[in-house]
Formats: sequence, C-alpha cells, structure tokens
Amino acid sequence: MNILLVLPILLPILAGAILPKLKGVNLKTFVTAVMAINTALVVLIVSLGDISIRLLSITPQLSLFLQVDNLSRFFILLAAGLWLLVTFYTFGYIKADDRQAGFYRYYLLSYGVIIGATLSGNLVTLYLFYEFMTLFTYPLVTYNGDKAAIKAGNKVLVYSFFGAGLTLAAMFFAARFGMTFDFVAGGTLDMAAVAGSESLALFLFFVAFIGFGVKAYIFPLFDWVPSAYPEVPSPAAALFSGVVSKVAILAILRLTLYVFGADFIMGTWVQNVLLVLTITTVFLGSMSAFREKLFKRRLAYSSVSQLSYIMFGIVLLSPVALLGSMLHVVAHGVIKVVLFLAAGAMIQQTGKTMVDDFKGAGKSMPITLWCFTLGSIALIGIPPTLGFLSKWYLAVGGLATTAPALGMLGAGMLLISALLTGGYLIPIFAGAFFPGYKFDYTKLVKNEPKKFITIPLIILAALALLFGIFPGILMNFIDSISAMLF
Amino acid sequence: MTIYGNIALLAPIFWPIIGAFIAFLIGKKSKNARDYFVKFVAVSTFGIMFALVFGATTGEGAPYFMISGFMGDRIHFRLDGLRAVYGLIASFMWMMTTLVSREYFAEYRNRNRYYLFSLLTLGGTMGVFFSADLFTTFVFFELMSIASYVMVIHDEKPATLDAARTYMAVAVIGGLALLFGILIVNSTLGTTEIAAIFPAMQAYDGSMGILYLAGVFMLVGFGGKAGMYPLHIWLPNAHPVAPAPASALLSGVLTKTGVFGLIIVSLLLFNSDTGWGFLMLNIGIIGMITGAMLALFSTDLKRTLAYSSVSQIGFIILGLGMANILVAFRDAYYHSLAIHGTMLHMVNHSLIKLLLFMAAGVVYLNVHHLDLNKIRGFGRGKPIFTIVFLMGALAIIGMPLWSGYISKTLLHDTLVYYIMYGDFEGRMAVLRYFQILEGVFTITGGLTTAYMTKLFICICVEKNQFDQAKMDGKNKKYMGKLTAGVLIVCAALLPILGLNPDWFMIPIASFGHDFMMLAYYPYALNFWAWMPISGVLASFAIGAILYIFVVRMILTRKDEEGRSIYVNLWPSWLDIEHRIYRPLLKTVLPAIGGFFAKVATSIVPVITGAIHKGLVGFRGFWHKKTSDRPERSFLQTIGLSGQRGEFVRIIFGSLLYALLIVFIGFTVVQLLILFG
Repeated sequence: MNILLVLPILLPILAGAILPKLKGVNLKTFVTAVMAINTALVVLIVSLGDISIRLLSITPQLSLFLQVDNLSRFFILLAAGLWLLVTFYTFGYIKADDRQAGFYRYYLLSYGVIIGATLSGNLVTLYLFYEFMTLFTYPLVTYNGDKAAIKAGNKVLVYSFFGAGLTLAAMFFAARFGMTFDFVAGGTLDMAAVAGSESLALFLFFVAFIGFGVKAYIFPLFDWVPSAYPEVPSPAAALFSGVVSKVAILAILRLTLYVFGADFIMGTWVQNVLLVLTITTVFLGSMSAFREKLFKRRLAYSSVSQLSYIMFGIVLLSPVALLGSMLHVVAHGVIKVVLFLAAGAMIQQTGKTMVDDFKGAGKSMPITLWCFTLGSIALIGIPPTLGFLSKWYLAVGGLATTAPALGMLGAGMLLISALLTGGYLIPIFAGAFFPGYKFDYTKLVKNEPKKFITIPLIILAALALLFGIFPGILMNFIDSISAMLF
Repeated sequence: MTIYGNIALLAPIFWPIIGAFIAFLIGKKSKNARDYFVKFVAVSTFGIMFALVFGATTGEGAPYFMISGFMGDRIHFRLDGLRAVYGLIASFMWMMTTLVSREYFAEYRNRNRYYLFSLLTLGGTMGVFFSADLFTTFVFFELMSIASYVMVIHDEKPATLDAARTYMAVAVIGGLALLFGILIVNSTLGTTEIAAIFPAMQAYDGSMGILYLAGVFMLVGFGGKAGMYPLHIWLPNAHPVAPAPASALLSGVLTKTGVFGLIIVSLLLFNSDTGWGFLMLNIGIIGMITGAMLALFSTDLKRTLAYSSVSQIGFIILGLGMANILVAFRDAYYHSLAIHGTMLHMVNHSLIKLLLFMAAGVVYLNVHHLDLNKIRGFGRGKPIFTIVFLMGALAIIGMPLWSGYISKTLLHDTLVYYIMYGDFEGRMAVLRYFQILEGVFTITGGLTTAYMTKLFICICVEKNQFDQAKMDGKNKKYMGKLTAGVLIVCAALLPILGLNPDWFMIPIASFGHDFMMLAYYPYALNFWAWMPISGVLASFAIGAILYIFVVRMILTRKDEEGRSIYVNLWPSWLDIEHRIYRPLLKTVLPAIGGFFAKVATSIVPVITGAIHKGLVGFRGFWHKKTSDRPERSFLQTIGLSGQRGEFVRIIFGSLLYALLIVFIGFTVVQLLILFG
C-alpha cells in the first residue's frame, strides 16, 4: 500500500521522459491524461492516512524517505491544484509548434519532482527533489530560446545552486550533531549532542534557512528574480511564483519547525536577524515593484515582498503567525497565479509589456481584467478576500510576539507594503476600466482570450474570494498542523 | 458554520449586495427593467429597515447577529439605538437618490456599472452601521470605500480621474491606518468587540502610549472618511465631479460612517480622557472655521457645499471632544448636551446635504455647469426650486424653527455652560481658550450664513450676467415630477423636524444614548429662551457683515464689460493637497524609499560583479603566462563544451562558492567559540 507514494512522483517523470518520443499522440490529450491520473493519485494518497515508505537507506542519516502528514497534504494539494489549472491555461498559451514538446516534457518533469518534494520525509530527500526542481525548471525559464532568456536562466541557476549549496554544506556540518534529518513535529535536534555548541548549530540553521530562502526570494539573494521573470513564459512564471517558491517555503517550514524546532530558535539572534531580513525584503520588494514599469517584472518584485510575509510569519514562531503564514501560502499561491496568468493573457492579446499600456483593456477583455482586479484587491489585502485574512493573522502574530519592537515594525511594514501594493496594482486596473471620457467606444473590439485561458482564471479568482469568505476549512486544517508544533 | 441571533439583520446588508448583481445582469438585457429593479431594491431596503427598526424596538433587547466559521469568526452585527437611526437614514437617502437617478443619468454612459457599485456601496454602508465588532466594521468599511470609488469616477473626465485618484488614496491609506489601529486595539485590549471596548478600557492598566497610537491611527482612518480637517482633501475634489446623487450620498452618508468610527474611538475607547477631548476639540474647531472660510471663497456650487461639509463635520467633532470633557465635569450634568448635539448634528447634516446636493444636481442637469457665474439666476422663476433651496439654506445656518438650529444650539451650549460653570481658578488660560472657542463658533456660524446667502442670492435672486434668457427658458420643465416630489419631501422634513424639538429631535437623539455612553440625562433645555436665540442672531449679524463687506466688495469684481462676476481669491499656496500631500506621496517618499531600495538591492550584484571581474582578471593573468598553450578548459577536456559546459560550470561553481562561504563562516564561529 505504501508503495503508492511513489506513483504520483514517478508517473509524471516517466511520462515527461517519453513525451518527445511519442509519435501520433496528441500532446494535449497526453498531458491532460497524465495530469488527470496524477491528480486522482494525489487525492488518493492524501486520503489514505499517514503512510510512509523508506526507499533506500545508505546510512541512518542518508536515506530516501517519503511520508504523508498534514503539512505534506497542505502543500501537495496546493501544488497539484495549481499545476492542474495552469495546464489548461498552457494549452491556450504555448504556441503549437515543434518546440512545444520540450516545454511539456519539462512541465511534467518539474511537476513530478515538486510532488516528490512535498512528500519528502526527511531533509535529504527534500534536498534531492529540490535540486532536481531547479534543473527541470531551467528549460522552462529559457523556453523563449533567445540570448536574454538563456542569460536569465543561467542567473537563476547560479543563485539557486548557491542557495542549495549553502543548505547542503549546513547539512553536512550539522550531521555531526547526530541529526537524522527526519521530519518530526517539534524538531529532532538532540539537545545533549548540541550542548556546548549551540551557537554553531544556530549558525548552521541560519545558513540552511538562507539557502532555502534563495528560492523564496529572501534579501539579499533575490537579485535573480527581476532578471528571470520577464523572460519566462507566463504560465511558467505563474507556477514559479505560485508553486516553486512555495516548495522553498515548505522546505523552510520543515527545516525550522520539523528539524531544528521552534524552541531552539525562539529568542535567539537568528530569529531577530531573520525577522530583520524578512521585514527588509517586504519593503524592498514592494518599493521596487512600485518603481518598476515592466509589467511582469513588477509582479515578480511583488512576489519578492509577498514571499517574505510568509517567512516573517514562520520566523515569528507562534501559532497565530503560522496560521497567517499558511493562509498566505494559499492566498499568494492562488492570487499570484491569477495575476501572472492575467498579465500573460493581456500581454499576449495586446503585444504590450509595460504597465501603462493597458488603458481601456477592461472594455475589450472584461473577464481577464475582472479576474486581474479581483486578484489585485486580494493581494492588497482588502476584505473579504483571503489576502486580507492572512495579513490580519500575520499582523496579529507580529503584534503578539516576544520580540515586540520587531513584531510591531513587521506588522507596520506589512501595512506599508500593502499601501505600496495598492500603489503598483490599482493604477493598472483603474486605467483599464476607466480609460477616460474620450475613450472611443466605437472602435472597441472584443479581444477576450480563449476559454482555455479565461476559465482557469475565473476559477482561481473565485477561489481567492471564496476562501476569504469561508476560510473555516483552511483554518481548521492549519490548526491541526500547528497543534502538533507548538 | 453556526449562526446566532436574528438572521433578518442580514437582509438590509446583503439584499442590496445581491440586488446589485441581479441589476447588473438585468441591465445587460434591458435598461428600463434595470432602472425599475434598482429603484425596487432601494425602496425595499428602506422598507426592510423600517420594519426591522420598528419591529425590533418593541421586542426585548437589541437584535444581534453572529456567525462563526465565516471570515475568521468575527462577523457580528447589532441593531440598536444609533445603528438603527443611521441604518434608517442611510437607506432613506439611498432610496431618495435612487429615485432621482434615472432622470439624472439619462444621458450618461456606463450606467449599469454605476448602479452595480451604488448598491454595493449601500450594502457596505449598512454593514458598517450594523457592525458590532471592529473587524466587521473594517470589512464593510473597505467594501464601501472601494465600491464608492466607482461612483466618484463615473464620468471619467480628466478632472474626475484626478479627483478619483485622491479619493482612492485617502481610502487606501485611511483603510490601512484604520486596520493598524484596530490591530493594536486587538493586541492590547484583547478584543475588537465594540461593546467590550469600554469595559476592557476600565480594566486596562497597561501603558496608555500604545493606545494613543492606536487612537491616532484610527483617527486617521475614520477621520479621513469623515472629511475631518486636514484629511478632508477628497471632499472638495470628489463632490464637484461625482454625479449629484453620488455626491449627496458621499456627503450625507459616507462621511457619517467615519463619524460612526470616531464615536467608537472618542466615546468608547477614550471615554473620559480629557486630553483626547482637547485633541478632538482642536481638530473640530480648525475644521469648522477653515471649511467655512473655504466655502465662502469657493465659486463652484458643489465645491462650496463640500467645504461646508468639512465645516459641519468640524462641528460634530467638536461635539465629540466636548463629550469627552463634559463626562468628567460637574458629575456629567451637561454630558447630554454634547451627546445630543453631536448625534443631532450628524442627522441634520445628512438630511440637509441630501437636499442641497440633489438641488445642485437639478442645476447641473439643466445648465451642465457648477460655476457660480454660469449658473447664476437659475432659480429665478422656479418657485419649487427656490423654496427647496431656501429650506436647506435656512436649516444649515441654524435658523430657529428649522432643524439645524437645535443641534447647533446644543453644541454651542456645551461651550457656554462649560465657561459658565467651570472652575477656572488658577487656570485662566483655559478659560480664555474656551472663550476663544466660543467666539470662533459664533464666527463660523456667521461664515455659514454668509456662504449660504451668497449661494442663495446668486442662484435664486440675481440675474445671470451672460444669458438670463437661457436660464428662464428652462422654467416649468427643468425637472420631472418624481424629482420634484423627492425634493419637496426632503425639504419639508427640515422645518417639520425643527418645529418643536420635543416631537422629533430629542426622541431621535435619545436613540444614541447607549451607544454614545451618555453618563447622565437630566436637562430640559429651553430652546426658545433669549440666550440660545441671541447666539444665533449674533451669527446672523456677523454673516450679514461678512456678506456685505467680503462677498460683495472683495469676492466679486467687474470684468471688462462691466459685468459683476464672482472670483475665488483663495491663495493657491494654501492648497495642502497639491502643496504637501501629493508631492510627499508622489515624489518625496518614493524617492527616499526608492533610494534605499536601490542601494540595498545592488549590494549583491556589486559584490558578485566584483568577484566575477576579479576572477576573470585573474584568469587573464594566468593565460598571459601560458599563452603558447592552446586554450582548453578542464570542462572541454572532459567533453563538456558549449552550453552544456556552461551549465555544469555554473552548477559546480555555485555549489563550491556556497561550500566555501559556509566553511569560512563555520570556521569563524568556531574561532568565536574558542576565543569568545
């Protein structure tokens, strides 16, 4: 029974591997079939209960270990759900030429390893999938094939592997504390083994955190984000921001709360430094987005700041803040996918790339712009959307922390950032819907993208709203996770 | 999800919200049917509200509604006292403005959009007035703010887009300030339940500093919406450009949601805090006098009315401040003056501005201008319009027997009695301060008289200097029957309410007792005594002098052809929006923030760039020495060239860097442990 855990990882990887070799099979049908079967598999293993399987065990510290717990369920559902919806969008977006097979191949491969990362039962397994995620997403980044895209892809590689290297080295040194790296709620750090060298262990935690943080855009290692995103095809950009960065968040959660443990980090310099770093990132991301004029890059900067909301909540190490963080994982996952998909559709339909280019777009492509507007409102954090609830709990957590000055600064920064978010998103949709009284309604042509593109948009935008109004199911689920941790 | 209490409370909030979308869908098919449906929604909301209030007060206890598992468990409504009055007023005003909307919007585009957001705003507004928890207040406050933005921006002219930008900025900044205030209250008092704030404050023994911080943030949030000086900037921008029905609602109802919040902050959070009272008092008095002066100088009908709103909101805020002071004065004997005055002035201002803005809408509909020089003489030969406008003017200047007289007298008496019975032994400065306040109060009354006289004489008495025939040409066909009916009803309300305060006004005021924490209710004020009347007469005298010597002699001049025209002499450097707020928000703060962002984000690229350059330089140096050897890197020798080689080089290079850094860090920490 437990062997089932391997299936949703292997299926997309195998399918991706054989995909370019297939002759006479409709690519879209094939990908749809794989995604459908895999979604069913994911739902199946999520409902099976807490099962685990140790595939390969070289030493007690070095083993391939898959398991399902509530945190995995949370992230696997998010990842699989978003990936599935974006698949349909991709069908409407990627041009049907002979290069598309390459895109779908790596699309499926990345999907497989991300599922693997969410199911990982120890840090080594997670690290392994994490590295493969970087490798398999590289062709998606460079899909445009021009020089700029390859340069961007290389930059992503440099930063990602640098970050992964930090984590790897930290794990390497931490192994001497006799850690198993298996994920156990509350941490597995052996206090007796650490005794005497706590500051060393803290340093290693810090390094590993920053290492994973690179893919969650932590300051000062987010310089690759603004370079990479404008080159990435929109569905891939949406998934990078919505899912890939969330795998980094998962890794950070596992590292912080399941390996080192909240008690060990609470009140130390590492907590303070990380709080400062995340608060700084929140500001820098929003400020840069506010000043950026290139549409996709603005959204990329926006992700930089939003991801740090989540990390801020994690580093606060309290149940309320974690609730805010996890809600924001869903909120940002859903919303940023909406925004990138809508932006992609707007860019593709009009051929324009700057934020000021979409005057009157609300009249010619109302569905896309309505979804974009809803997503923007949710991202700013205006009720009754999920973005508001998550920020509420993050701020409540910030104000209730044991580090009052930093907590208050953080809560205040969330609001300043929300203000900036309003500043960089509102003009886009306001201009699109209110083009001015001289707007020529006679020349108006309907320019709405295909159904493949609009339907995923509508579903996701509706989710951002519905989860905000009925968050009970999410909140109960998160409470069941944090009940084990604190 | 579990539901507690009376589910009927949801109807006035969610029926307009649902109705908004239904109307939108109907409007896609038939504009006529949509218009009828929107009217039906507005009228039925008022009907529901009416039934709820008069059905509810007969039962025991105020009806409440709570729902768990919905938006974080804090959606909580209550319908009592002030909430009932304002729910009723809001739905009444929406009904009235919706009835005239069809005629007003006949030539407009995008009407479907307008009605959608108008009804959404109604739902949000009702939600704010019904809210029993600050979280709920905030949720509906934001819905209202965002939805009303679309009402403001409706005609999309350049000036409108600009005004809407200001409106949105105040809404978003105010909303976030409010949220921060609520969050601090939540973390210090442990509750956001409105009814629990006062008891929690009684039991609170922590530092007041953090609560003052919360108070100031909430003051910014609610005050911005209320039109409190100096956050009033959206009113004079948005009112003139918004469609008239929307202006009436913005001024009459939406500002009152801000006042509703200010009541919570002032009277529940800082119930007997004299220091806070003085802050409110000062804000109020500055707003009163500045608003009134700006109104006197303005030459635009709706802009004058907007500044008048700023001034009237100043009166209300003054009342709140006096309530804070009087609750700790002479066993709160005069507390009810402030409470009743505040409450009634809110009600009066809503009803008066409803009337005046709708009248302004009639003017705009016919002349398509709001400039006083262009609409001059419009009211000549139009008796209904003239009488309606006169009713509003008389009410707002506080003419005895009209409703405004009662609330202004109450507010004025708070100052009078404080001066009369206060103990100023050794605190002569305080006495002087209050005497000055009283003087400013009277002068503001004079200014009010002057600017309303200016409007009335300009529109209804004087002849148009350019083309009076055009104005007269509209006589008898300038408004439809429905609009005329609505205006007459609204105008008749004002003298009816004011006729005898014991019939309507005082009973209305007593609805606010519980919510506004009235401490003691003893008095029976004689409104027809010489003292209150003499105060009003003093104001009128000042108003007459101001009108003759300022308006007629300074604010009008002759143009080349000898026609007398109104001019706005308000110095442009006193415009705080364009002199302070806009440069600050658009240039100064982004420049500072952007500078920091630029410096901080360039740290890593600079370092990596330096390393890269250093390495390349180093390699060049190496290659120079061995230039006789063919260039062949290690990767090429093992068969990895081109992009693949680049790929591998990047991966291993990055990993090695990371390892290096961690190793150095590790060593440093080890050394620190050894020697530290």
